[in-house]
Amino acid sequence: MLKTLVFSCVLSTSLNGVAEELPSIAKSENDKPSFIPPFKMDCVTKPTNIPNLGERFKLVANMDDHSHHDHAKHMKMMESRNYKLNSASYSVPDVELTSHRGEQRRLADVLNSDKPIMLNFIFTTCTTICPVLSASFHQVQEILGEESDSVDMVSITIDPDYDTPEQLMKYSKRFKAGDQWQFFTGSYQDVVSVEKAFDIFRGSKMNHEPITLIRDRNGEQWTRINGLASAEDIVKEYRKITAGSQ
Amino acid sequence: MSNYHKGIATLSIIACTFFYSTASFNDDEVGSQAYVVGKELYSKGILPDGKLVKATIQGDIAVEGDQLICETCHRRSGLGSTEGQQVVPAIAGSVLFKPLRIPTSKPPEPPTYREAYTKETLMRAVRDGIDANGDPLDPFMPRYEIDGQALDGLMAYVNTLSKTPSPGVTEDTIHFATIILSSNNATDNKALLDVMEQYVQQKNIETRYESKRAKNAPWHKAWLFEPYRKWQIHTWELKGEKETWPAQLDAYYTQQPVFALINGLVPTGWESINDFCEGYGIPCLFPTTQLPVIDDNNFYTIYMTRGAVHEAEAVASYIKKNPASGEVVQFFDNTDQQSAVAAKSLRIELQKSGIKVMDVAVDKHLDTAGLSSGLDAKQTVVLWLDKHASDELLSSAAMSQAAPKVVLSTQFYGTDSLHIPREIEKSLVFVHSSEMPDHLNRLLLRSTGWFKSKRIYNSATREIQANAYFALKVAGDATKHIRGYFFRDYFIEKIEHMIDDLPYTSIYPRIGMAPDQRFVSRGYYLAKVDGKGGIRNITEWITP
Repeated sequence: MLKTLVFSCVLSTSLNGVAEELPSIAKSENDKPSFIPPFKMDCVTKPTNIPNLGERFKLVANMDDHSHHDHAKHMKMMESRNYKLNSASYSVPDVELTSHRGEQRRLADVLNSDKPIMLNFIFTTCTTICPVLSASFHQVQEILGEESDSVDMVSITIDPDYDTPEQLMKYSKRFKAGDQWQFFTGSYQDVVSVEKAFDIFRGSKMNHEPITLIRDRNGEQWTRINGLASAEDIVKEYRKITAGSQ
Repeated sequence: MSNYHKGIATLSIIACTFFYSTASFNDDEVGSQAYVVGKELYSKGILPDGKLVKATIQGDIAVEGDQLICETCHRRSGLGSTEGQQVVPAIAGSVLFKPLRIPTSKPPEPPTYREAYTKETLMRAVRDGIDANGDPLDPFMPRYEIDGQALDGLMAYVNTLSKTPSPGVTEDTIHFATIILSSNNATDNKALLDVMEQYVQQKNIETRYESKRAKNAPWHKAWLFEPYRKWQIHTWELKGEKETWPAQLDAYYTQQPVFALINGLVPTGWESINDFCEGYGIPCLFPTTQLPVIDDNNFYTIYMTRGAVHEAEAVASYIKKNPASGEVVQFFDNTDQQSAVAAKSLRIELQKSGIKVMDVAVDKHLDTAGLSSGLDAKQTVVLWLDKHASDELLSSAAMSQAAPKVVLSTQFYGTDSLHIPREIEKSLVFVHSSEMPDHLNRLLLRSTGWFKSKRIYNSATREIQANAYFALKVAGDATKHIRGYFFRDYFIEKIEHMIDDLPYTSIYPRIGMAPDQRFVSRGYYLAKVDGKGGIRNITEWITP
């Protein structure tokens, strides 16, 4: 009886056009879950002549009005991070890989030059993730400009059976790789051991994830970016990492 | 003109303009101007003005036309793909221009109803990355800089994608075919056909109730049952010269169109069948052949290996890693297509590294003494000859005296090493492009067990049977995965993704595939005479 009274009071307040205020029925904390799911109040509510709570719920749930949406979602998208960041150290297996120029190099030597390193794992017949990762490396190259000589970029294939040095060379040209960016392949066992060492191995190459790794020169810890980072994001993380040793 | 006629004229002009203005949306005839524009953009990233389209991802990653072509992610069928956690949605016209119910991934939120795309909302999607409901598209989708003309083309093109189901599928049956040659060994043909027959029989028995359910599926299980079809595999026997095969294939196909070709035994001559597969757009899965057609433009034929060309590549790789101080000499038979192709490929491969090859063309009348007289220990000798001819050459006195390095391919020589003379055993190496003979039985345990239970196993033809079985399994899995979307392009795309983690084996220790790859086995072993009449590997499975 009391509840019905409260309800009708709340209803009448909303009918007076004080629409910004959430009805207390939805707000109370010691709630068992009510039939009304949490309202999403971002810029949808505005004064209207909504006869009852049900109609209002429908409005919120359907979000017919797109004009507010575009803006809100747009801003949200541009500000939100689409990637996860964490840091780890990896032990590099003692293997020899072949570069896209046909040079045999010990992986440990490649990763322990006196420059910071950006590392990712690709394969040349990948359709979705790798082109984006490689395009982002290219863009980073553009952003750094002259400074790209001071960083090593390494892309290791996860399909060594198909990706010969020639294939990698073709791929490197497609993404306009500069001299500081090397691509590596090797024997199947060696490549799998490298993938496992960097926690990249996911069984079939089709299951691979978009991962970019950055490490300062002679550093221990790698920063691991999992997801789609813009080139600016990568450069930002890179600067953070190398700030200490400039 | 009288007023009446003027009226009719105006009306008809208005009517024409009206219909013409909507024509760009309905202008989905293959070959129309808009279609051509759309196809260039979708499959090559080229705008109507001939330049590569530009795009950006995530705000600042600039991408050019050939780096992220629509087709690479959304695929030829327009039905999308997945890679890891990334899902690329379908954009075929039948999906794009109708509302779509997208199940929710975050209950208790309701499913989303994505509105049908219109010209305006599609432009907004491609250029700004906003979907039909006003939500942002996945960040992996680039934002392309296109104009109205390009968009019209794109719409016309995607409207034709996966529009009508491929031929070869009726209401209750899916038709396949396999090719055998009348010039093959009868036992070989029988071995292959036995496997096909038993497979189809068992499959149809096991799904007989599903076929009934397909006709009367409850509404909530329609998606599961309706795709069921009975299987039928037709035997297409090709007779006579390979030049006559295209006509025979056309005749078979006209009589009963098939959805795809499964396996088949065509040791040589596949080039006469290749145009059939690519021309009709029929998936041709894993034919057993030594002379595949190697062409980057081919889409519909998937092979196990590159055959004779692969042998040459493997030998070339070995020679490059173990360069001889003397020259490379190769013996081949010009009248045998496989031999000639292998020799040519080796020449080309070694030329890339600046290594010259001396060709010795051998004919049926083998003059072993003459041929082997010029050999010395510093050379590397490659034999692209059958066992008989090779043995004759190898056992000649001159050969034993000179004892050069010898490279043989088991594809030509076989794996029986009993006749290899002692003196050259040490410097002789084999290239073997499938699992080692003594491990093969173990690798094929599962299929062999099944063949034996069906009483069709023939150990002399175990490789032929294993290949047939493998192709059938892949075809079966892929048919299941396409779930009633009987589009050949989609079928191939599924196979591209499946091969990397199959639960069944082939005669190759490791296979792999990805979009645009068409040869699933790339590896080989290096092997030596094992002293017991066979060969043993001295390396693991390596790739050239």
